[in-house]
Amino acid sequence: MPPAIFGDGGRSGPRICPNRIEAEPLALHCVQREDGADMDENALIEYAQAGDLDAFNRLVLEYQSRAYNLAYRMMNDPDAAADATQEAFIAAYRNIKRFRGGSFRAWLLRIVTNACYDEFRRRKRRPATSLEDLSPEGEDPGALEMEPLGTREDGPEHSLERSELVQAIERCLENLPAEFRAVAILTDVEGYPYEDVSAMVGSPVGTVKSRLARARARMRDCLRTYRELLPLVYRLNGEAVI
Amino acid sequence: MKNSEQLGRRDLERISAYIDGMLSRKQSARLEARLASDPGLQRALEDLRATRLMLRQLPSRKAPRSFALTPEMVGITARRPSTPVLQMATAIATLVFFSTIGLGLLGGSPAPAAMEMALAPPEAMLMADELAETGLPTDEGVAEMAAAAEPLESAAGTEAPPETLGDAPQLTEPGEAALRAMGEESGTPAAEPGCAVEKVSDETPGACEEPLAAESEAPALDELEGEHETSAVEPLRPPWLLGAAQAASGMLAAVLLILTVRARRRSA
Repeated sequence: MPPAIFGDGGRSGPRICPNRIEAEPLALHCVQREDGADMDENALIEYAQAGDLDAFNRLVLEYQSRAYNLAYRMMNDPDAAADATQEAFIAAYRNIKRFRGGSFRAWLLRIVTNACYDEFRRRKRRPATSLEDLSPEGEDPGALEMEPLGTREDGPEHSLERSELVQAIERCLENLPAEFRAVAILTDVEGYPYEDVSAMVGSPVGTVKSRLARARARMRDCLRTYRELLPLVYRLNGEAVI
Repeated sequence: MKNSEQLGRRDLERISAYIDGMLSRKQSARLEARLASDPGLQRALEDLRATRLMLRQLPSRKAPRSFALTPEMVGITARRPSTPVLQMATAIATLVFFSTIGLGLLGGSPAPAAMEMALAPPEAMLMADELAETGLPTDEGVAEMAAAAEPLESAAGTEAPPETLGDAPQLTEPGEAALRAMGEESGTPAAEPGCAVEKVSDETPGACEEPLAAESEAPALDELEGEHETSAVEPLRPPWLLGAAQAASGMLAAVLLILTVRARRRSA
């Protein structure tokens, strides 16, 4: 059943999602409005396609965290990731009329992925090393939202180990070819299904499967060099007890 | 037995897809049978699982800032180019309007000029009476003078016709015309024209009695014109010109003001 439309065909005001199932993730179907009401994502997209920047910005607020995370994992640089994310949202707004339905998230994250590729190409043309890259602790640990790796033991030692392990994984990800990295991040880090990843990277599902397998194998090989950092449950090559 | 690194590409892809549950039931059953008999394949599966688990446990990061777009970012410029231009035009038109009013108050406005012209014939009549008392002008001269003043009176009461506008300086000098007619046709000395004008401004008819009495000879026309130039209150431009300028600038200012208000409302 389509969502109810109030007023004059939904043009004068946002459409409300009347049948949202509590178990379903809110982000996929409805967007929470400031006044607490749920707004249909499709309505926001329609408004944005008509040039409504406010409606598009609601979508931005909804997806900016995922977009930034993808860009950050792709770039492994907070500033470059922020730039790529911003560029991606600008490109998305300018091209939103070309969005023909389907998964808006997949469409948007594909733009983010392409923005990251563009940034890679720019960097290849003009390689530059920032001071942050030269420092051993190149990032702000406070930017991490949570620390799920390893056991939940408190204390500075464990915190440091976790931070080092995260950096090791990020370095291994960074060493992957960009196409492999995108698939590994979208599938394993972000947890999207193959079909969505296929749409996000613009490749067939078979290609996604193949790239993912090779990306995992490369990650496995890379992470072996950091074996001393790995918690017991993550030990590789037969030493792990999963 | 194969080492996990020595797996073929197809086996690697199958194991990877198996982890994600992306194999068909048949493919899964076949792989599980192989896994049961191949410890190397089993180890490869466990390695890939651990790798996947580690990647999935990577912490998510907070967006460092809001990526909401501003109109400038997407090239949307506010439509407000007409408002400053309109404001400036309104200000200029208003300034012009008040300037014309100010000029009028200083002596050039159509209203004082019209008053001047309206008052001039009685003044001329008065002068003619005075001249008659002194015996200098004849009855015919007075009649002529009144006749000469008549069209001027009508011109002062109504808008001057366009053909006569070119002679406006003469029209603004009714006393002069009357005196000129009187002096030329009667051959008697005319009263000093500046005096008539001064009377208009002073409204003291007696002020001219002395000079009129003192000067028994009619002054030359050149002299009359020279005195006309030195007259303080005499308008230097046609009276209709200031009136038209006032009306035009006032209307223009009003129209521009309305346009400005509408433009500002629209942009707001």
